[in-house]
Amino acid sequence: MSILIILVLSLFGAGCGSGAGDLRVSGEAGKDYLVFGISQEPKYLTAGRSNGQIPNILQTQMYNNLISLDEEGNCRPELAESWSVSEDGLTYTFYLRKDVRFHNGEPMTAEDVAFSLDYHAGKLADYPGGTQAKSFLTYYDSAEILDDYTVAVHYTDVYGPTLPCLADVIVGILPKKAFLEMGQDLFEASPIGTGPYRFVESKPGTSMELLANEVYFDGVPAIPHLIFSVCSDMDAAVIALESGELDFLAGPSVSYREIVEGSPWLTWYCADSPGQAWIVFNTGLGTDRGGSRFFSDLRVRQAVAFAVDQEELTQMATDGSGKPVTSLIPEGFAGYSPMPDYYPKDADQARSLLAEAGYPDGFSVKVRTITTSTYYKLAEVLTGQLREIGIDASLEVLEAGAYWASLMSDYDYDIAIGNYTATTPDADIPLMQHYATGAYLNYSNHSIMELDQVLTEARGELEEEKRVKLYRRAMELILKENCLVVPVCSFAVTGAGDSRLKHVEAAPYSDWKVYQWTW
Amino acid sequence: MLRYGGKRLLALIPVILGITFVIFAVLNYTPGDPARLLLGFNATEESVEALRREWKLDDPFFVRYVRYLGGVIQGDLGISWRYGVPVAKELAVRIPNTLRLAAISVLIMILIGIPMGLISAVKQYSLLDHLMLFAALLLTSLPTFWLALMMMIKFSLELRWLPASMPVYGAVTWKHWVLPVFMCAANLTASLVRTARSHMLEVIRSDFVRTARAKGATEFRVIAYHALRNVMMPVVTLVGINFNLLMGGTVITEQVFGVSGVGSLLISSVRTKDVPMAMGCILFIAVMIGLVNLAVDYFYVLVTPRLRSRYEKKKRKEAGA
Amino acid sequence: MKRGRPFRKRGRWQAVWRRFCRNRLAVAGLVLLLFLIGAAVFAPAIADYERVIHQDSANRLIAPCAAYPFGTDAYGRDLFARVIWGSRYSLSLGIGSVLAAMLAGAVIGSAAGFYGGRTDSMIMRLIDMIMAIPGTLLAITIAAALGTGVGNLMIAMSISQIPTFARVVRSVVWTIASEDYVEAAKTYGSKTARLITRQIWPNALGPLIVQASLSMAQAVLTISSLSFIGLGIPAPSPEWGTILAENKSYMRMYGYLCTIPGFAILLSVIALNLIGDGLRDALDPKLSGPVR
Repeated sequence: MSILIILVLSLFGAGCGSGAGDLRVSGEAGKDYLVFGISQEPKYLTAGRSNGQIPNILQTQMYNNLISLDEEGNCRPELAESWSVSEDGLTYTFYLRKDVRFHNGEPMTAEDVAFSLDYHAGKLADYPGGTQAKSFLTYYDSAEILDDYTVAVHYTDVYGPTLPCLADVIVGILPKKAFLEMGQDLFEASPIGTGPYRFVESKPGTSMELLANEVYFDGVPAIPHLIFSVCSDMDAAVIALESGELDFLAGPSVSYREIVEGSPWLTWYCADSPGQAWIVFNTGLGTDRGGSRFFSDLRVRQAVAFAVDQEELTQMATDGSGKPVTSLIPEGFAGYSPMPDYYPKDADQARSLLAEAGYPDGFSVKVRTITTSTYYKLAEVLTGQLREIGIDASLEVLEAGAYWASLMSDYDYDIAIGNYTATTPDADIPLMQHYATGAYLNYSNHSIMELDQVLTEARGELEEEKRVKLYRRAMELILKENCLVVPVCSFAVTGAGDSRLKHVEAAPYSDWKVYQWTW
Repeated sequence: MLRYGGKRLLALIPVILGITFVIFAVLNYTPGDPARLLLGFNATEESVEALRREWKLDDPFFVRYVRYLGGVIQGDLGISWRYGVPVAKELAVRIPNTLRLAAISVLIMILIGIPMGLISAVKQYSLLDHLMLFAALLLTSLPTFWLALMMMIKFSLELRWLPASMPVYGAVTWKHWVLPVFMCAANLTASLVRTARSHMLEVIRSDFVRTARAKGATEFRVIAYHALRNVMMPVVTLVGINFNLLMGGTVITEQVFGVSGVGSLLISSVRTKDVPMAMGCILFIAVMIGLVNLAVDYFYVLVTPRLRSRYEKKKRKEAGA
Repeated sequence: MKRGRPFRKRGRWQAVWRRFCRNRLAVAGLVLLLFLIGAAVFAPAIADYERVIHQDSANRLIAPCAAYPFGTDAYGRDLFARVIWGSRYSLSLGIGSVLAAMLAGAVIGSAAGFYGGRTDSMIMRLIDMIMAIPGTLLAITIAAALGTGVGNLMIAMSISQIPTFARVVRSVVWTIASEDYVEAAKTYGSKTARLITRQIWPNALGPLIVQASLSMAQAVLTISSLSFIGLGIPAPSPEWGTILAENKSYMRMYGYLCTIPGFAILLSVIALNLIGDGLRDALDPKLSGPVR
């Protein structure tokens, strides 16, 4: 009994103790599997059907695109050996590799490519909704099979980032025959692709098991067995990583950086991601739905923008790993240009704007958020900053479903946190998807005609200089003139893994390329 | 007595009907369209509509509830909206894990909690008693999730005795169960120690034990035969009442240790509005709690002569009326 | 059943109090609880609320020192002020939800026990129904339905605790309803309500108080574990469980961030448990003193 008491008491010291010791069992090197921890399970495993950091990790392993992008953003061959663009910019012809086989042994041909693009774009009668990849096939019209290994993709209009979009992880190529035989639901239960790993088994809410594709055209992966483990508690997951139960963990909190770097057995990976977070308002601008009682007034939105200290917000919400941003286009994206900070921190101006708007003593408001830390932490710091100008802000934590419904269809919120990771390095994607009238990620509940015109003009413009100018104008409309959102910061994509893993590269789009790794 | 059991078993039915109704209503009337949630927000209206039709979401609430119950009666728990697999199949995978967690925890409660409480009572005011009470008080009062994280750091990282999570690759060994079971059982076992001790004290001081002692029965016989028998009853009742807390506890334990059980499935199903799956989990938990309480009541009536006679009297009264 | 005998009320409670005071542990628990309640009541005098929510990026994650006795968290907030103010949330929620449940349980339980028959079995089925949903689960569903917040948490916690109290009161009613004096009162035509309030409740008070103090201990724990899974009181409100949960990813490097709110929970739960034990012993004099 007294032993028990001593143990219990010693637990209190556990939090602070260093006691690294020999954490890893020796003689384990060269094992034939890898356990990869992820924070939640992807909704779907079929290419294109779910979008986001976690689905990207899975889709990277299981599927291939026609082409891919290198670090500088140049197109590189993947399933297509080469390609050509017609003079009018409406037809892209792809010449496919002839040595690619799907996981079920069938060869990958032009038929499959045409089918996949049709499926993603919602051109199939059975699946009119298409997939999430649909927004990466702007102006897609049809795919014409020229021969078994040549396919011509027709577009209805010129679109600047057509090729980068096709390189987005989400536009994976699926096997036509197998898909049509099984139908979408059965296919989802045992998905098939051409990627370096093939799907074996999934245990709902627990794990997904993949095996190396023995006939992968780009060389068989060095680690034969890949198991994804769904870790519902990320703090426990870090402990499991340290004790060697996990070999790699995607997306650990930055607060663990010191611990991971301090361990001789672990390596910390971190890359600036094109992901951004903003404060969004329910403006009701130009829509018949009506906006927030407070934030439909431009002056109140501007007051908030003046109240926000981006440096501080970024520092505290991302533990110093993020960077404050002023542009809505991630740096390095086509169409990017630096923007001025229209609303530098200025509490006095914020207060006078509030007074002007009729709230000299401020007001009480709820900041909506979900428990995901990238949202929650930001929202929490925001409440503190709003308080400084007399807005009595508190958090309202919703379940994810209710949260997105309130931001995307119901528009019954006042102020909330928006967050988006564009996986195709082009300005059109983040701007069009959030700020065009009726866009599906139109969080700020607005419709501005001039903005729509500018955005449409910009996406068809091929000359980079003119595009940049158009996007500058669009951002002036969004940020300066209407203050629809307040950009806050970019995030870092984090990972932590066993130090014996070689060739691991930090993945800005969280497309961890496990097939390149070795023990 | 058999009739009593049958009657109580029947009484479970309205209880379970009530629970399923409440949860079904809550899941149905909370904001967020499950079809929209599953398909994502850029899905077209048509595909959302198609899914709603497939799930028959546009029928009135009562129609859906009655249809669901009809299915349950025929043994059909439906198909998970989120995973597309039969709910019964997924539950069949999960239930053994939760049952193991709960059963071992109850076993530990009984096999460790009760003897410790008894020893503590018999040796009242000894050093052992004080130490045991102190440990029990501490364990009853600690927030379990905090304790769990501490234990993981201590036993998985610093001492390297035990794994911190359930393996997804390779075999599950007894070592994997130690921490989850401890987290699940610690609180309740400790409170059982305290309860068993105080009940035992009551019994030790009672007239019949004194009489037995006076008649010259050995100390061991007094404790083992007279006292234990009388202390079992309230203690087992407590186990029954606490089973409900235990099931709540498994939810959090499963979450922390990645145990693939009903509790973690329930949380994720409620969050993703996977109504058939969530209902299946609730049904399981409610039936479990109902059965355990039934067993406890049965035991209670069976063991206590006083209650049995009272029950018989009541029956006679009813028969007379 | 000696417990059911009528008594001179004042005399009995005085005796209980004397016995309670002889139990050093129980008194320690009471002192501890009064200390924590004092902290809650005088929180505004001890630390300005501004310090609870004021964020300061220049003073993040400072270890306990003279200026910040409990250190600061990742938002640069004063943990001392947060823990002190946190006692308001944690204790008032824990104690408040139990008091509400106790009152409702007393009414329901005495009605069930007193009327018996069909009323009894109907009420008990309802009680069984609530009992078959673990409190954590009920809170999850209520939070999903109504959103998180102090009020909703209070409702969820109260509802899930009503059954315990209803059962305690019902069993007291059962034991004493057949006593001669109650039968007598019945035959003399005393009003039911009067009977319940005058005869039954005073007798049920003892076991109720004991149960309440133990339930409060459990409630404080449950609330903190709800906060752990994100369904408790949302930040920046400084509920202890919320503080613990939002700092848990810093716990490895900055142990004090979790140890201090953890100890606050631990201490208040220990205090409530000790008081509960002490009351139980004091109400039942047979339990204390050496065996004869």
